[in-house]
Amino acid sequence: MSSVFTLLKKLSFPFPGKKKKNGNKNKKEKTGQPVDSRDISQREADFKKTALVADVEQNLHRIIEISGNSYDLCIRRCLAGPEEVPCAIVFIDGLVKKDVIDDLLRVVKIDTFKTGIKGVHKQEIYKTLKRRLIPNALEEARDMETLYNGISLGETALLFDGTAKAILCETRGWITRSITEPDAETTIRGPREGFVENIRTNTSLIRRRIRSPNLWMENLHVGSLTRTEVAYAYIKGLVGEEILEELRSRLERIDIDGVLESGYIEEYIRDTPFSLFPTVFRTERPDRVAAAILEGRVAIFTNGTPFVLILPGDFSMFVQAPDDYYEVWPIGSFIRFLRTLAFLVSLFLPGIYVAVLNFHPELLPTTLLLTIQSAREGVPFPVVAEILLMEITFEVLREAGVRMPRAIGSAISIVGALILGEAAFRAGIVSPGVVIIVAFTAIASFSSPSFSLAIAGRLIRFLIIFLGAAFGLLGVQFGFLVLLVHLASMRSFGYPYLAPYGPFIWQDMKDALVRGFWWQMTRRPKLLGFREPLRQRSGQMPRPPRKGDQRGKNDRKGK
Amino acid sequence: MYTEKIVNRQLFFFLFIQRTTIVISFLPALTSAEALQDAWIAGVLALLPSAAMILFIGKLAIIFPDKSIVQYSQELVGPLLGKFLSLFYLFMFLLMAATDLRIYAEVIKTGFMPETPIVVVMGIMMLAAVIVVYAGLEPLGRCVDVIFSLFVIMLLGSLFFSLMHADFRNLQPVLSKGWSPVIMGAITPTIISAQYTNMVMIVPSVDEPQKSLRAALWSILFSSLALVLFCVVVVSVLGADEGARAAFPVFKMIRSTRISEFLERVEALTILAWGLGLFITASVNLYSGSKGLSQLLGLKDNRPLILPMSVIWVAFGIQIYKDYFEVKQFFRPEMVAPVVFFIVLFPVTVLWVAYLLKRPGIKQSRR
Repeated sequence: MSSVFTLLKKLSFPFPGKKKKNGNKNKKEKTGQPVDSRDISQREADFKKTALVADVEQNLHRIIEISGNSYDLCIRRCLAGPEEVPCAIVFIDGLVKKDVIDDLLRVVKIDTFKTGIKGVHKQEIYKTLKRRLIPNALEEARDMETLYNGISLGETALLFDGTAKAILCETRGWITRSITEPDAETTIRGPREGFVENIRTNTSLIRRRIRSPNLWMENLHVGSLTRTEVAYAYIKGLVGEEILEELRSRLERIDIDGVLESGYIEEYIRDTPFSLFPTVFRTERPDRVAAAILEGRVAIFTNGTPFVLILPGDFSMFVQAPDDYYEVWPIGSFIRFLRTLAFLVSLFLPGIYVAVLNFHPELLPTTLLLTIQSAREGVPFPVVAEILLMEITFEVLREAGVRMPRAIGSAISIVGALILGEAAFRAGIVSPGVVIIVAFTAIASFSSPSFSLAIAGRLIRFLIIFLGAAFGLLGVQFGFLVLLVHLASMRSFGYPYLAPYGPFIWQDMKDALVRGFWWQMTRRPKLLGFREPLRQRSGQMPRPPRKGDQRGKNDRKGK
Repeated sequence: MYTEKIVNRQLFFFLFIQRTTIVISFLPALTSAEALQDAWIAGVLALLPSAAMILFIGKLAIIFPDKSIVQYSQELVGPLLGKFLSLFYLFMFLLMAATDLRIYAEVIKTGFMPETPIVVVMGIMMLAAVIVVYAGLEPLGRCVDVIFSLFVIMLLGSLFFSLMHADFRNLQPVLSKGWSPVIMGAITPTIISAQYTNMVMIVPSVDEPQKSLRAALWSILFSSLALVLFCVVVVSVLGADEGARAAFPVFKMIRSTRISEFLERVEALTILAWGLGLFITASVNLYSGSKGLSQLLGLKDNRPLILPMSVIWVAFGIQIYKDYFEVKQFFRPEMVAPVVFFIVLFPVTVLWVAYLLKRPGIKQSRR
């Protein structure tokens, strides 16, 4: 029996079990040993505990000990004032503006003489500097954590001998991408600005659009190592407090080492983690964010990414594009209706094609059926295999188009269009009908303004194809019903995902499948703007003045 | 515990779609079997007694707005008899869902997929219903909001296309055989309004139960309108005899429609509308049935019951009728009337009597 056990133990060498927890104990015992033996969590904990002391050299020693004398960490030592108090300036190169640092050094080295303080206590120079001399002093740091939070954001720390505190000065300035039009979300009419990677620039883009003081922005840091700045903006008094409460608790619950993109946050705050459909909207366009905030939604900015999250996100949001609102009413409504239709086509068309050809050929007009069938003559595969072959080929092609360097991009399109399309059809591998269906489906799925919805559709399309191949139109109908149930049972921060279609909200229909006139949209979305439903005065339909009519009277009479 | 709430609009949609699904599936055949070209008069005649029946069934549910029939019947006639009486109702849900499913499966089998066994068709539809009932009543309510407009658009579309072939001379002569066949023809549509018994399970979940009766009455008005419209169009397109003889008259009517060289075979539209309607019918009944049974058994949640119940229901739907003609026979007035009287009206009558006798005491205890 015991031999079997030892054999098992020997065999399990590729899967080492949990080591016994004496590792931590050992570390605690040997505090006197070199710091290198501590693991990252231990180092972080120690660092957070460290407070500043009154001796500047000791402080600097600790800073070097903590950050390992990293080469971008700059420490300038100098003597301040007539008393020649030793002091130091600490900042991280690359995050600061050089001329501001020079100003700061000039203040410390030269201006301290002008104040005429003489023969006073060492701490006095700290106070004078903080109160009177440094124009950009932000706050005081009493421990290493505050200090590092500051300098990692581009602030500069001033340390003085004899004071167990540091002054943090605003010296931020680093190179960012300039504001350009987002490539993924282009419009024909509308602002050309897009978000950048810097959170402050992004929030300023919203501030510039909504100048009300009731636009509130709160922030917090997420990520134990990256300490990424995350901010959320909303209009106080318009957004439902329950949504904010829920968002706050979900954001504070996140415990992760690093956040590099808003997608990390998105996955942590979603209501239905297993759903393919996005419940949080993401965009690069400030005008979309501003519009959403005006409706009573909340926007989440993440430092380091141009993608801003909007919540609650509902289905109709994902098929809307900013152009709808900027073009005149009939065009806006038409393109929106077309887009919704295109989304449905991209989901169901290949499945319906397979189902009809396999099970219900009688549904097609006879001539059309004959055309399709004669073109299929000699194709060695069943319809479903043909469709799957082409769909998968197209998916690979699309992925290749995204990944490959721009310079070779044209090669891909030649290979895709000519070799795969033309040659496959000439060789009789696939029938032209399938090529048409796959191409049209692809175009339809590209017309979706939101990439996250389109990729959900891509996966579901395959399921529908399988259902159609197995059960005909009945299976496609089943797929539709299950999809509907799934969408209807989803909520995003308490907001029903399918609103205003289900629950059916008549007053919101003006901005769902069609886009009503601007002067017609007198009310905010019912479930979002419930705190103050009225958005504008009604009866603003423009009309030329009639003879003898007073304008104001006429308007009031209009409704 | 979080209680799911729907609104009266959704209740209206439930009831309307449920009844209209039955209408498009086989009702014209049954009314016109008796009344031939006067089927539409039978449809109009059926309105008032149907409304009376709904009032009879629904009023009791409104008196106890926060209780389902399983609960208030126990309050009225005691736990044992109450449970026994509500079993009738639960059987009614089963019967309706199974029958509807079976008819749909027969249509799919004869018209679209002759090689697919009906258990597959019924199973697929039931599975969809199971999924939505698992999700709960609120998602079901949101689904019906979406489906309703699709349903109405598709039905209006198929009516519109059929109208191109309508010959209204088929409706003449009016009342050639006198009133008696018309009245006979009105019996079945009246009896079918026993479907509205779903109310007694759903009303406790409606946010304004006092207005539920109004929603039900509006829905019977509109679905009767649909019934009359379909009767008129079917008879005028197919002729009275053909309409009475056909297995699925509405289906046959649409199938004969051919608008142009390209726009033919629009029956997929009707079948899709029918499928959506059946989905709602099956899931509402499954919800009512599982909810009622869970209350009967004293369970907190109806979800554990859904899957086993659905399997039994599909099996029941297959076993109860040998073929489509038995289903059709079942809807002859002399067959369906006693069944419904016994299953639905008898328990309600007992409960009404108990309520009227006990009313003062109940009012006091409720206060």
